[in-house]
Amino acid sequence: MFNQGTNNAPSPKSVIPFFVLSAVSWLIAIVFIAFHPNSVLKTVYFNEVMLTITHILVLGFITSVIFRALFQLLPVIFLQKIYSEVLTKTIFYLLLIGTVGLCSSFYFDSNGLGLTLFGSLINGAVVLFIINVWKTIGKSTENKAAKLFIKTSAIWLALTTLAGLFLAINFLFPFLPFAHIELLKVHAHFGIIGWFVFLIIGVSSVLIPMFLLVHNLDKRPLYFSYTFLLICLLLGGISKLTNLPVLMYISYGIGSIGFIYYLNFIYVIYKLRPRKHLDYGLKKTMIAFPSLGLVIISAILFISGFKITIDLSAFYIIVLIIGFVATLILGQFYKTLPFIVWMKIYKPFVGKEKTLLPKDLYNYRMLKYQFFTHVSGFVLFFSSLLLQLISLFYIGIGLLMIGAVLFLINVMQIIFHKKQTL
Amino acid sequence: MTSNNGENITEMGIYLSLKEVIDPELYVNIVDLGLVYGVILKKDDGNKVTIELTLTSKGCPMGGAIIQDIEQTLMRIYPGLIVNVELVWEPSWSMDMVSEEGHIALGMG
Repeated sequence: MFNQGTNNAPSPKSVIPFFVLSAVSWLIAIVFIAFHPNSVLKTVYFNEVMLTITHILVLGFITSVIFRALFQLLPVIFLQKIYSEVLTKTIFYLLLIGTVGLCSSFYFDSNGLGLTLFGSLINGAVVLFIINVWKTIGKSTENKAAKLFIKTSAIWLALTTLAGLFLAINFLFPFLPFAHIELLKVHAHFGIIGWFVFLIIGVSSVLIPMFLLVHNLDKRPLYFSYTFLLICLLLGGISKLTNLPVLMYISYGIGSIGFIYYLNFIYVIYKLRPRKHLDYGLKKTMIAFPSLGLVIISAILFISGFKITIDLSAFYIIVLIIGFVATLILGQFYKTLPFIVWMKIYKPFVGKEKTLLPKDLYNYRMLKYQFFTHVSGFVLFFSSLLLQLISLFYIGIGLLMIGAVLFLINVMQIIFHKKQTL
Repeated sequence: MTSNNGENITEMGIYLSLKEVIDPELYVNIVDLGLVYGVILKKDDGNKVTIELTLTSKGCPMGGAIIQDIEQTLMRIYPGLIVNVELVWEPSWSMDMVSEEGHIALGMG
């Protein structure tokens, strides 16, 4: 009989709460952006609105969905059961309370006490997450490149949240021997590149070929990408903490090469794909990758000393989060959530009667509209940042908001789906 | 519909019956996808059939559902048939195993 990880899926109860937190956070973040145009257009790192929006996005939306994705996908990638579902549920509650508390503390300017308290909860969630991931992956010999990226991303996540906690404590008892703004930049880059990008590369290196039916790929570009991005992060961190700007420029250049290797890996998969017809979930996944090109161009312009109205380093972070990470996540939702719910509701009836397919659990037309509003929304939103045009900003964010509402409706429709008979 | 009258059951009949089993992600049946490597029917062993099945990737999360679909579908069409599904990974699945109909369904026609 079968044994190769096909029955290792976690229980829906342990992962669905992450889906809900994520979809709700995405809508809340877009609403916050819409109501605070000046804070976003004149992007400054250290204002309470930007910190609130950023943490709703990176913790409530992205980290939540990544935690969920990993608990669902680790069994697929490494053919192992999740080490502990109790830990998975505990992580959710720590992340939920920590995120709500931390973002409220930023917004209402809590003076460091709330940040320290709720930041500690987030750190607790991260420690449990790392235990759960490392114990699950264990000694699996499957997908070695993905394993390397995922394990490394967990370390960067720990460093990111620890740096965040240091920043919070520094508000209460100033102890940092250097300007806290430098640690804030390190915190941001460790989180975005070290945590999100490493993780996404690791997971996508398995899932995208799997969805597009591509086999026997040359994995060397992934290892090159890993090496360059790792050096990029280390040099960037050292440059900030030692005040050696030259290292930062080298770091940007090396990081761009790392991204190019990864993009090339994805491009090869896309070119070779036997599955020519892509549904909108996969289209949305694939449309995320060109935005990485914009990130590379911004990084190159930044190291060339090119000046525009917006801080380029802030611009590429916004593109990376909303253009790449968010788009990828919104697309992959449709390749995961319907399957979890379908397995729970319809698996007992498979073969005994005609059942719906996972794609029948959501409104495909709504997904199509969500795709178009999201893509046109982020193109106009980024243009508004570059051109500093408030009218364009409102159109762009309005479209993103429509997409976020459609997305939330579709997610709820999937989660509350009741069995139908054909 | 074929009854489980030992004489009527054939390996080819079972193979064609598996066209009712659809891959929930690709929306193509498992026969046209080339996932069925073998059908071994042993009539002297109480009408027992072994299906040699592969998946498009090793960790395919839909594997369990596909296997259950095979078992239930065959037991529904051939009441009393003992169904055993064995996952095999050699040779590993590739697009060469997909039928012409499968290619068309995947948008490669």
